[in-house]
Amino acid sequence: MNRSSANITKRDFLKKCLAVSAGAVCLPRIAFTGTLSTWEQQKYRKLAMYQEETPRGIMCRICPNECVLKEGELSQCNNRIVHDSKLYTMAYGNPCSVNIDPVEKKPLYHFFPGSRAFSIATAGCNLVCLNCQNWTISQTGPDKTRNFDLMPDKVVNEALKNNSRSIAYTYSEPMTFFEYVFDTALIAREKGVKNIVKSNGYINPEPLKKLCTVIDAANIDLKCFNDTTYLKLSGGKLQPVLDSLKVYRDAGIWLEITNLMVPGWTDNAEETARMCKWLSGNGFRDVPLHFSRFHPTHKLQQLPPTPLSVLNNAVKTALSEGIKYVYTGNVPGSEVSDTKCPSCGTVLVSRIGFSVTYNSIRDRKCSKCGNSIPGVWS
Amino acid sequence: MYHVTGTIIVTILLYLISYSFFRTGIFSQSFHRKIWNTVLAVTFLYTALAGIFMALQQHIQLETGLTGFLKKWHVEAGVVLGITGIFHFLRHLPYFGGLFRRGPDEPAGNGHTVSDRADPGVNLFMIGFTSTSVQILLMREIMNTAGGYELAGGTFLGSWLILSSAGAALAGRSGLNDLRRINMLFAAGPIASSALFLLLARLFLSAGEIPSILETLILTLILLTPVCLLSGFAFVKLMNAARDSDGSVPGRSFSVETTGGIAAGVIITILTSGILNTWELLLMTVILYIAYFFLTYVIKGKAPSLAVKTFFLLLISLVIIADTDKLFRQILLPAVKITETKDTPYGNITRADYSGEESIYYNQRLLTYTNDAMECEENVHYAMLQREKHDRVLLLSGSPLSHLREISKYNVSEVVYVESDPGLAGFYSTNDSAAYVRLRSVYRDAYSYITRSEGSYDAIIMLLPPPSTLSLNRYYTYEFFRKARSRLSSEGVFICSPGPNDNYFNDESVNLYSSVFNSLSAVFRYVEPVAGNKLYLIASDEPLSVAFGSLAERRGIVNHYVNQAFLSDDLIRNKSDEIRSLFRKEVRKNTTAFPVACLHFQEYSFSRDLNEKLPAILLIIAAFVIPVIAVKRSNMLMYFSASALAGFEIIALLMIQMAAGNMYQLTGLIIAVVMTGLAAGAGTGTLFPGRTGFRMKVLFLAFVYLAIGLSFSLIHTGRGTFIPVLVIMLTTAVPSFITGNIFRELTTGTLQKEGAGATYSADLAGSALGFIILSGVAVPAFGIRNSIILLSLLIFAGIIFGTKGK
Repeated sequence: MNRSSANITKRDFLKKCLAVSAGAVCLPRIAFTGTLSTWEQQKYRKLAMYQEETPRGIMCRICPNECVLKEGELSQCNNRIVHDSKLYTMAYGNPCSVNIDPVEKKPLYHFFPGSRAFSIATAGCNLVCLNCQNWTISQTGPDKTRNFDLMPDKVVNEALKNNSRSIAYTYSEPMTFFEYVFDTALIAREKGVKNIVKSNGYINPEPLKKLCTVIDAANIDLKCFNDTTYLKLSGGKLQPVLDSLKVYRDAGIWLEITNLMVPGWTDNAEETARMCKWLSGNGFRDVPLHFSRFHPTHKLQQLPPTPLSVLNNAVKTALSEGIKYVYTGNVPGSEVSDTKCPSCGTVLVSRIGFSVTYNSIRDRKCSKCGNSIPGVWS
Repeated sequence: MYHVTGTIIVTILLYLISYSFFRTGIFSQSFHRKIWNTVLAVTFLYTALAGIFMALQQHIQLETGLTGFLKKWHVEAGVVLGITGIFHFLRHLPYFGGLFRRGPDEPAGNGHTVSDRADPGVNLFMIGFTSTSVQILLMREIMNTAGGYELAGGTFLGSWLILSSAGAALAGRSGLNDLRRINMLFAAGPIASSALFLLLARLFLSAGEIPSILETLILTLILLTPVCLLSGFAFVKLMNAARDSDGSVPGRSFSVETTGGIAAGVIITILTSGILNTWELLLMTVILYIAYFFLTYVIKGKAPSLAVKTFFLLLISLVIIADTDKLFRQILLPAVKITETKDTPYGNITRADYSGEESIYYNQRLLTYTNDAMECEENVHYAMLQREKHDRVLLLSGSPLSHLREISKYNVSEVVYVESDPGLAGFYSTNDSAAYVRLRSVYRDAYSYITRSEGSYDAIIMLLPPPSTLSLNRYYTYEFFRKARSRLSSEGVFICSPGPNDNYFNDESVNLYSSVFNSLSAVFRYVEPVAGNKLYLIASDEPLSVAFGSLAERRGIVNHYVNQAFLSDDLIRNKSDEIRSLFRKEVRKNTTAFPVACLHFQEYSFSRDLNEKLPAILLIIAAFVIPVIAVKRSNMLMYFSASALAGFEIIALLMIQMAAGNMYQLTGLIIAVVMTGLAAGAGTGTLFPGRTGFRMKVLFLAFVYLAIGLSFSLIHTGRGTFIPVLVIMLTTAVPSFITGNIFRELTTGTLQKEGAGATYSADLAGSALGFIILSGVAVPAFGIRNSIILLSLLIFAGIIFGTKGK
């Protein structure tokens, strides 16, 4: 053998070491993503609803992202994958977060006040909010989280066992585990357990209408009223959310809306006024509106919490636009949390924190003037 | 999301910088073309290959999980390709014209004249002074923006050194020898870098957004390019000029430049101790250098000199009067209105206003804010509700007044408030603290206070930030908890929060919290995790309860948030049990010598941007592969010994904080010892002549590191402060001196093979490797002792790769 070709110089050795190191860094990732179809993961897969074959691939029709996926590709929400030319959800029966919360924490103030909600979430979300307080589950997929084994019937049984009046599909985005929500809600309904979705409202009308046949209440995040901000802050669009609100309203689902006031992003007084005007003019006057205080989280850690004056001004704006039930959240001690009769001003439901200390609503009516108070009270 | 505008602007700026470099003669036109042809080729290759790969993915149904990454960079690379392509087209426009009309050929070469009116020694000193000043000041600002963790600091120093070494390497290829032009360009470097920093921070980051590690890397690399390239370039040119004018050996020039650096370190340290702010100092440093340039190279005669001096003095006065820092801070924190800003030796304190509510930022992270009842109640009551009576309470950091309101709900006789940064005293209002409870404020490092103070407390409330840096990690170690326990009464309670309470704890946060929990559990009999708005860990030698609602009611404590209305006892209990079940016993305890919590915190931060993890690691690797390939065999020894010394500098700083309780005041001392050692070593003649003598010296250096590593426990456990600090100083001085002497020998006499510039480049690039590997990986992953031993292995690597057999 030629000596020069057989010998490796120190320098070549060093270069090869560096190349191997770089390869070692890259390979685990490729290897990891190549093991997506293990049997264990198959167990939590289900044929996805609302899929459509297109010349470019399989289109997921659940949300306005409308991902078109080829074989093996993952959807933007990290929950859906194409296998054998069919779209599957990977989030079915494998929630990563399970808690029991007061229903007021969702927040839902006009829906079985003082009750508890058995709350579940799988990993995955169709938006990428810079201020997501659940980023550890929303910005990843169910194949990367530690999950519980909770098939739909088991979820309902657990909710009953824990004396929960309802099941809340929350924390991440329930529309990304649509099939799991739908099947669980169907069983829950049969067993008298209510169903709540806490959602960003980023869903197409057709699947939403289907979902509305099995759910009882929803709290929708209306993040802001500006398309540019929606895109920058969350990677989504405003119009689909507004369309969703109308679907919920028309379907007769109990609806409450949350607006998180992020300083410098979504707390512009003029924008708040426009949002309230739109809500008022589109039949949402009776829908409770929650203005929530922002606290620095995830990527937005250089912002201060929302000033109380901003929240209080937003409440005034909403009331002046004719929205009847307006609350503030995340400000213990300074919250606007009591439900007052819009007709006579009597305090009907008094709340401290997540607890209801007083409730005088009888038969959905004000105990003093008899005015009808919308909500699901008992 | 794609950074189309940002990428376009940055590409154009970089092109213009490169163009101006070739126009001014820093590098040749052909080199400028080579750079951009390479950019064009690389971006074209990536865009094309990624496109083909993605098309293949679709057609042959190949799944790699890289789609998101490929798509993002396909677009970004496409933008760079487009812009570079336009410049390329413009450059070749004459060719198309030439199709119809033939023009004369471009003249080759760039024969500049040498101007040597100035004293190269003084000039080198000024360059050393200015470079180091700008380095210290820009690093403070980058650290503020990035979040202050060591990897960001290591990245900064690494980038600085790599780019400076690139500048030094460029000098060897450039025909520009006119000192006047070189100095003029050098003066422009800090201005361009500062402007790029402010511009990129605004372009790439949204209001209130913190950068990811990849964004930090890219931001750092881009903004340091002008100042570092010009600094390395100018140093080598001046070193050559010194050799030509008075025969100074490169080692002497290195000593003079380093002396300028030491002077800058001392002066900047003094001035940033509350006298002047960062941006003010940065502007003043630049003005000072421009003044030097004008007085040395442009102005002649007494009267014009006096006029120039007066003008620059007025300019400096204006910088101070105009409160320039407020303006710059406003650019960096655009979401709030800045009302006051101040730099202290420990960090930057900024007071801001938003819709009438005040907030205080420390190093650009929110520290306190108005209407903080919820946070203060959690901080105080989870610990204090545990016991019926409290006499003395120790409050470590945090805003005193808000917490005193809560503490005063108990019958407490005294609160001792310990804060390391005295600068914060002026920012916190404690005027009406007397209305609540007797407060004694101590401005001292918490670790040092706990270690050396006397007396016992019924509750220790630690409100220091999570262990995101090696410095903060000290407060979450087994050793610190043991000291805290010794300050507690028999039923005393300790509380701390190692990080946020996410709804779901990912593996990274489980590891982080497990390391702190395991350390606490090794000290206290009872430790309870509490899922508040942050994750709290409460610890005591007596049983603890998480039934806060019931406890508050039983003790008659009226709160807005910590009460039964918000916190159901059963739900809190369930959550605590669930969190406890997640903690892993096998995770190593967080100790001073093995600061793993800091490493886990960095991994946790990484997990925010999983898609960026791979490119960030590849970029870091690339940043080190390129210099290694570029460094010639004869300078490999310099490369590895410099990386060992830089790594040891980090370790010395950690050892100082272990011995002295804090690292702040003594940081300057360690840096001064290292630089003095280097300067002395480089300025001293050959110690052991000949190749064998040189090898003996290198072997001795490896042995020194090995010996320090093996005797680490002696230094670590040494009693008192003075002797251990002295020992650390001495152990730092020895390798610094030898490393400096290696530089001298490699740049003079028989060992000089590639020229001083190349050796200097290897020195800088090696230091970069040492800073990043040691601070970001080795110390947290292998512990301090093993990391020191690793340094001796680096020297052996230098011997293997940097020397030839007989």
